[in-house]
Amino acid sequence: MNKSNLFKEFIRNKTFMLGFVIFLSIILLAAFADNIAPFSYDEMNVQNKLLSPNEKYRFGTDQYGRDILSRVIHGSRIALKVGLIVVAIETVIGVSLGLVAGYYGGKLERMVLFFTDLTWSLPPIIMALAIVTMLGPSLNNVIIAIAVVSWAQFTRVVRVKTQAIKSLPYIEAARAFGENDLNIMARYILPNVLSSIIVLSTLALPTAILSTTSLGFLGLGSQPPDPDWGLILKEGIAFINQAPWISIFPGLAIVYTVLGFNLLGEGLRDIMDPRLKA
Amino acid sequence: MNGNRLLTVNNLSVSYVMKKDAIKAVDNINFHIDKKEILALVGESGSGKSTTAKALMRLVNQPGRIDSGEIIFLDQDLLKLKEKDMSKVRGKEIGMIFQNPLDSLNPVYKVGAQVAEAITLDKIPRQEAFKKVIDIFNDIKISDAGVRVESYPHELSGGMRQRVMIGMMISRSPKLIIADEPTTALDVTIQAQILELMKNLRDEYETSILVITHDFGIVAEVADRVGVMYAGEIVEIGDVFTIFENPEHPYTGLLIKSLPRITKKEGRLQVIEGNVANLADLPEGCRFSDRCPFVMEICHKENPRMTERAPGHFCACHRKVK
Repeated sequence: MNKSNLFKEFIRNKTFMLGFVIFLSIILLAAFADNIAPFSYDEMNVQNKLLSPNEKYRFGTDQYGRDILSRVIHGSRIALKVGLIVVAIETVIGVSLGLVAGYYGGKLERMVLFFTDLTWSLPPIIMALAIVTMLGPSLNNVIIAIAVVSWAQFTRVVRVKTQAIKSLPYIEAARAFGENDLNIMARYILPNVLSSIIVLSTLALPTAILSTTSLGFLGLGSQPPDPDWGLILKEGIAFINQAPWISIFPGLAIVYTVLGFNLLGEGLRDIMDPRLKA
Repeated sequence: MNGNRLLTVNNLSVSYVMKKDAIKAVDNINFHIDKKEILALVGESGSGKSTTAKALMRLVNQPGRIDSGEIIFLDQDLLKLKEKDMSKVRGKEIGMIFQNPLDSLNPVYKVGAQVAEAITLDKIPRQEAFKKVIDIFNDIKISDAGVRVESYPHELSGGMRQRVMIGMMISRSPKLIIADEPTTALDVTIQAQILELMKNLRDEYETSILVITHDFGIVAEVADRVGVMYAGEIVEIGDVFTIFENPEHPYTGLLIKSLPRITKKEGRLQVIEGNVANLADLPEGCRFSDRCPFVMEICHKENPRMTERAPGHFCACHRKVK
């Protein structure tokens, strides 16, 4: 497949394009949050508290009179930041364990598999809850907690692919001209599993964002006045009868983001790695 | 003993370890390769020739295991080297060409980059390596070398890929090249070109070559000496002309007779009855005894030893010709 064909295939894939547009809009929102948001996210204005959506405050205000629209826009930064860092950590842990396990096999592989199955079998949000409770509530601890519990699927996929690739003639050929194990893993196997990793990472992003907002909602993630979507949602619960917009808009933002990334990931999967569909 | 000696293999045994027992794929073989010499190892599938090749590189895969023996390359025993030092021998001192050129290149890199990668293993800067790649490609007669270096493996034909593989192996000028069925996956005209190329290598780069093949036609084409393997043993080894004229071992004779010949009148090809002996259940005595047309009583009792029939020509058979 040459480059222009690949490009056409991206354009033609509707799932991917829709996801990509949403993804782009979130990136832009996060990048230019200061310019787009009409107010700052923590500017209080008690006279204007609990206003329903109007011309000045498009998404209404909360109990301190803060503009929900601005808070939701700024919240995209937290969601993206956490999502990207979590996925980066997951990818590094998961991929290196998968490579090593698949390449060397034997006892090492069984050990890695044991831990993979262990983390796989525990409900991630509960595990993350336990870890955050242990470390204390903060956004950084949330990042650590989520990353620690969700690398397993990378390991599984990469291990299986590594096993398949390592028995191919070109790996044997590489060994025959004197490449060492590290080089073989990094330069021969990794590039050949890269497409799966990209797809998996994209699909792991919405999960990570959902987990962060869930922990935020439970009060274990970002602390006030940070505009974490989960946190805003939770703060709105107390006023759900008088001012439902406080919770509705961050909720919609979560749905929009998660949906966008999922579409993007699925589109990428269809194009780059159709065999992963299962 | 001999300044011209490049590689000596003494009593090499390799077995594949199964759940209960071990199967000896290579049983106590001895041979040597001189500098600038092309030695061919011939045998049917399962005779242990590929395993021998891999053992020389210490690349026998699980569950295979080198049991015993010595592989003396120049002055050092390769089997005694640490894995780290062995990986310095691989590629640098001994190169290997595989039987499956279609899958022997990494599909995600351009072929030029792959050959360059092999060269940079010798601490040569990348830019210089790329220049060298084009020289090598010209050397091994890859047309449009400048364009071809930018190709991905799937854009090249099988013969072209095998050339790239050969280029990759000679790029570090190893003293010995092991070619494991280098032409099996290629069509006949390309085969001839690749064999020609290998002979040129020997002449220009002064490399020794060990060719693993099942085809006596290839042996006749390139080899100086030939070793015939059967069921894990070398049954006959010697100068290629001597063996073609005067095969001492019945198996060698039958292999040569089963070659298709234009001069032969009969329409049918001659075949050797039966299959290669089952390594897990070898016949008593000589391993070829159950297929041998000249089988004698002693063949079922005692495995014959290698004896020198003519200078440099060894054979393991109870039958004394002439």
